[in-house]
Amino acid sequence: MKGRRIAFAALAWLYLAGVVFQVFLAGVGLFGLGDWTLHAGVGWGLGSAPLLLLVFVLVARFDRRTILLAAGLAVSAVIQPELAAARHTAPIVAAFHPLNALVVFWLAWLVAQRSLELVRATPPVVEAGNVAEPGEAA
Amino acid sequence: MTTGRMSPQGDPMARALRGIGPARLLFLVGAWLFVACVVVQVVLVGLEIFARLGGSIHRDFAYVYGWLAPVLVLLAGAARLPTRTRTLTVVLLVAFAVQTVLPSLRGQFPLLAALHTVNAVAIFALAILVARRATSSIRQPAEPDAT
Repeated sequence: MKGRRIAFAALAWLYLAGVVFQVFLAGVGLFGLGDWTLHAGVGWGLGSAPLLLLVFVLVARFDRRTILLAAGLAVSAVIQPELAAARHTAPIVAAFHPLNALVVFWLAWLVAQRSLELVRATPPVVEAGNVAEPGEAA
Repeated sequence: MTTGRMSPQGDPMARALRGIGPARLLFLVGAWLFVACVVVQVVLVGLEIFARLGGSIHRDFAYVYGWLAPVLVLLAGAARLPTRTRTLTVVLLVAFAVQTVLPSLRGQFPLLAALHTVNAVAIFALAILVARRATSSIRQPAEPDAT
């Protein structure tokens, strides 16, 4: 039980670190330190990674709030590279790429915080049985 | 439907607002206004990059709302907010000041200039934290009158 939560927390914090790194790569592109190739490549990876987190929280039967946060993160992360890809056809829509980046960061942060709460809420000794723990669906 | 008027003494909202004090209320409004300005600022940079919005509206807008950061520091002190909230507000001010300098380092220290985007995210996170703490300070029950 605790192992699942620790794995979820590790994934969530790793993802948050990835988002911060991706923001740095955007700065690298903007300020001429390099081209946009790495930012674009990492972006497609980060766009699909939250789906893994969502599957994880669904399979592990986490609570409703965690599922909603993970779902929100998955949706915002999936559309993020699509927004950038729309720059030629719909530049106004593409202009929301940086704003959605903030949304992705914010949700990733909330998911990471939530994952720590779940780890901390796990009782030290778990008895066998069907008793639902805090943060998990009964 | 209630038609009667509640006296100021009996109205819980009026009592709560009186207990909050103007500095705390102004801090709350200012903190959320700052968050809104950061969001607008990020939309502006998106418009400049992707929609080729001319001029330097992203840079200019920073100087429009930047004065809020030092004002929040002063209000946090005047409102006697908890030490952690005041510290976060000072950190927000420092991060904002650094943010205005970073792009100018593009020529000499491009790696530092590239941190402009990361620092922007830090400012957003700090602004949200400060605003949420300001909201919490309002929700705390008002202290009873001394009289």
